[in-house]
Amino acid sequence: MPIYLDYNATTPLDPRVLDAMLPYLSGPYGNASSVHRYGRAARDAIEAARVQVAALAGAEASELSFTSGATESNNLALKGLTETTRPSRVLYGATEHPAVLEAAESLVAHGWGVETIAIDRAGIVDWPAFEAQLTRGPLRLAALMLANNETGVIQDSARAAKLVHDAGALFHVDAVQAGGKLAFGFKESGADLMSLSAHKLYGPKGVGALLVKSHVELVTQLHGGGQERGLRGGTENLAAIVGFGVAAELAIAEREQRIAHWTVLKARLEVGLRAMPGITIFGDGSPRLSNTVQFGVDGWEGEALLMALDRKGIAVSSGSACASGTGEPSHVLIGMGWPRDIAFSAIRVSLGTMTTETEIGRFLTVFGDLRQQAAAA
Amino acid sequence: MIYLDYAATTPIAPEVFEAMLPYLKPDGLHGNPASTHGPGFAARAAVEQARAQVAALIGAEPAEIIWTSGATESNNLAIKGALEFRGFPKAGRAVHIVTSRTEHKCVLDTCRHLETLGARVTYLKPDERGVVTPEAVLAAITPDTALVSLMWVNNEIGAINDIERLAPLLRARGVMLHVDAAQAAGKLAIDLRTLPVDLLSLSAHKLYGPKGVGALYVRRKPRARLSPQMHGGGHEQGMRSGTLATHQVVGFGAACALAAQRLDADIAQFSALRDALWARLQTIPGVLRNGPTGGLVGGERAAPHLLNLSFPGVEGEALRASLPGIAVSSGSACSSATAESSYVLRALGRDDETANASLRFSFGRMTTLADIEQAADTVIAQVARLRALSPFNTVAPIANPPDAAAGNPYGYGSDIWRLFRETPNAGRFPDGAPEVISAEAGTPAASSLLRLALRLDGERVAEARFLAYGCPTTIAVGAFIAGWVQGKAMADLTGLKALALRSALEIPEDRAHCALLGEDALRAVFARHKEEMA
Repeated sequence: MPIYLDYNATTPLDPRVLDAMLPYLSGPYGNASSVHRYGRAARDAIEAARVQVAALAGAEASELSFTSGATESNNLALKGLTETTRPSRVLYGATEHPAVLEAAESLVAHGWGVETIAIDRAGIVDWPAFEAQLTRGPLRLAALMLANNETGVIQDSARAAKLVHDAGALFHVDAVQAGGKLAFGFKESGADLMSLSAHKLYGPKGVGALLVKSHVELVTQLHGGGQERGLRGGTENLAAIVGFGVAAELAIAEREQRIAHWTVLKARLEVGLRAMPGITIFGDGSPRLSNTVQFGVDGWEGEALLMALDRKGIAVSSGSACASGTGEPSHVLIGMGWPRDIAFSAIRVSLGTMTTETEIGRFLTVFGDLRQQAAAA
Repeated sequence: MIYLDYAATTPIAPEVFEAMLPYLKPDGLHGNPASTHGPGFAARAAVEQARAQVAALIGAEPAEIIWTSGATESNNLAIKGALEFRGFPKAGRAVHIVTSRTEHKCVLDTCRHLETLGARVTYLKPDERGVVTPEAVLAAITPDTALVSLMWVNNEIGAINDIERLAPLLRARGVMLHVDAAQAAGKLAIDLRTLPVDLLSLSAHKLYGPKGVGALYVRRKPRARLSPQMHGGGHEQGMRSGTLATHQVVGFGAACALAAQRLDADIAQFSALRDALWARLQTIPGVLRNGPTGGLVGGERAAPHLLNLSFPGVEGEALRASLPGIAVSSGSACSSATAESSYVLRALGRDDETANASLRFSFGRMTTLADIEQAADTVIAQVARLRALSPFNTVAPIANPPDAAAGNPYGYGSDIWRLFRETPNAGRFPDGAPEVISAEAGTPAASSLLRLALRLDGERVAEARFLAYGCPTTIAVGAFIAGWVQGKAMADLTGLKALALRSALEIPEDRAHCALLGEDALRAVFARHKEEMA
């Protein structure tokens, strides 16, 4: 059985989530917009899931719209918000997910000034630079993720939110990787908008959510049908939404237990890595997710290492799955100011609920062997 | 419950479900298709196999298929993406789109949005069958026309547009053509090798695949160019970013493979069901068929899987509430949430009332002839019941026809539901009966009319009857009042106000006007009595 250590790319479905979804996949369920019995049953299931997913971030169900995934959520947040006003400025963190980064950059064509927020070597916002940047002209929106998908570094959202609000702008938080791995609140984060995803927390692929504070107006990016309070047209993905709800409920119930499990495994992994020469753990010393370790390997090329590990039946990643195979170094590490050669050597190990001590041990052995072989060659 | 709403959504075919299941289990097939390791490659291989299956159904190359979250996204991407690629919106440059009034809501909403940004849109009116002819499209083309967006099969009335003839004509004029084929795939043969369509939208959950996945066909030769509408990660050749939902994509592929294999059998089955239902329901006096009336033969252009009928003389909501055992739609599911009558039927020239009193029956693989017969019997009986209740009619009210599944699926208050179903005191007194006064309130134009008739014994009401045309709440109010007035003194009649009616029947806020109608009817009959006394 191969060892899967790429849970930040996607998680398998929790069997309990699958059980909850099955009736909606195999049974006679209707279009949630239909007014007959089948349609109403579908509608009820969606509304129950809305409460469950909102609870993941301590939010109100009325603040949540379902989408096809976090990419759509982030696009809706950035484009939907900027369409309501005349162009001014949008800021996003240098280590944001491509969905935020590229959605933001697409605004340039519409006359927006788009700037990155400087992130330091440790993965944390360069606060003095950020404060100065906020005052440098009118601002509509700033976006900073809660936890980074590559390094796992956790950002102080509340602090950023206060600064952004003081500048008269709105604050978007991509909380995709934080979901289920960290306790956080929509309200406490200070965010006006927040993206969530199901398939990073043992729910199905193909569904995500956007939380929107009631005072924030957005222009829909999917026209037609008026579903999701007019924010997102299209027949609802019933089974996936139900699955997201159950996955969120389990994530809340088991959060402490999961974090405790990961903390031990991560410590073991890092102790093993630190014992090897030429290893740099990115974001070391910063608050990080308990399941994520991204490290550089001196003198190695991450993609080659990744393939070698894959041949040994170990699935890890060099960074974001979305950037895989592009031949470019991680923009996250570049954004943190790491040199290209170190960024090129990055390996990300992300742990899941199913990860065992044995798997971590096996990873360390295989990885150590590969390094020794290379040294001998 | 008989499900006749396959045009809103289909159940997942068992074969499709079996194909999806491995990708929902934690057995190594759960990877992110964008990941470059074993589990990622396995997921990617499944995604590419599905792409080939979808392509095969429509005669496309796999590379011409872009996955989306559904037909709504496909239509948005096609229309907005095509315009944006041409530099829209740019000041001083005119851009024109040709579409039709009977397109799916997501196409119309997208076009309206583009109008606010400066695009000019021509919304063609279909002919009386609901068909937009190639001639009508060509006549609307101007030198600025950037795109024609026309559906292949209409989702409400099943009218089939002549895409086969239109596409080459537009190609010859160099105008890009987008076709919404959500209702066409699996219901008619599509071969894009010979048909020069540039962009074509597909949905999985209309052809026994899962919800939450669709596709946009984007022609390669000559290349149809689009600007992406969802950014981040550069999936789907940069045209649509976002992690692919492997199980859904696999399900869509399996559904298309099945649809290709079953196409002829499906068409034969659906048309036979449609014709059987129409043969029975056309015995209802005055029934109107919306849309084309025959198959593709003989120039008629009716889709096999749906039948849309109007039943003049009954109110739409009451009609639907009278059919709790049949899941049908009064139009597109996407507009049934909003109470407006079908814009598609209004575009065919139906008035609001007739459009509102319409039902869309749509059939699928699980539909049997027995379902059709039972549904037809129920519809015939319920239309007769509602017509007999209506003040417009002179026939005697008939007993509530039996209904095996007489639940309350629309969630009316229990008293309203009981009175609507049982309609105690419905009817009229014999012509020329002595001591009878009657009066009406409401107007047919407002879809509600309530007639009260009282037989008096001096100043007391000995007996009362009502007739009503309107929603279930209106009918329930009539029945309630006719019971309430019995034995009351005439002077007490105006004591029953709308507020009391609302609390007695638990009438919700949005139906307050039904209670007012009851109060008005009581006032009217009281006034009539005073007139006659004077």
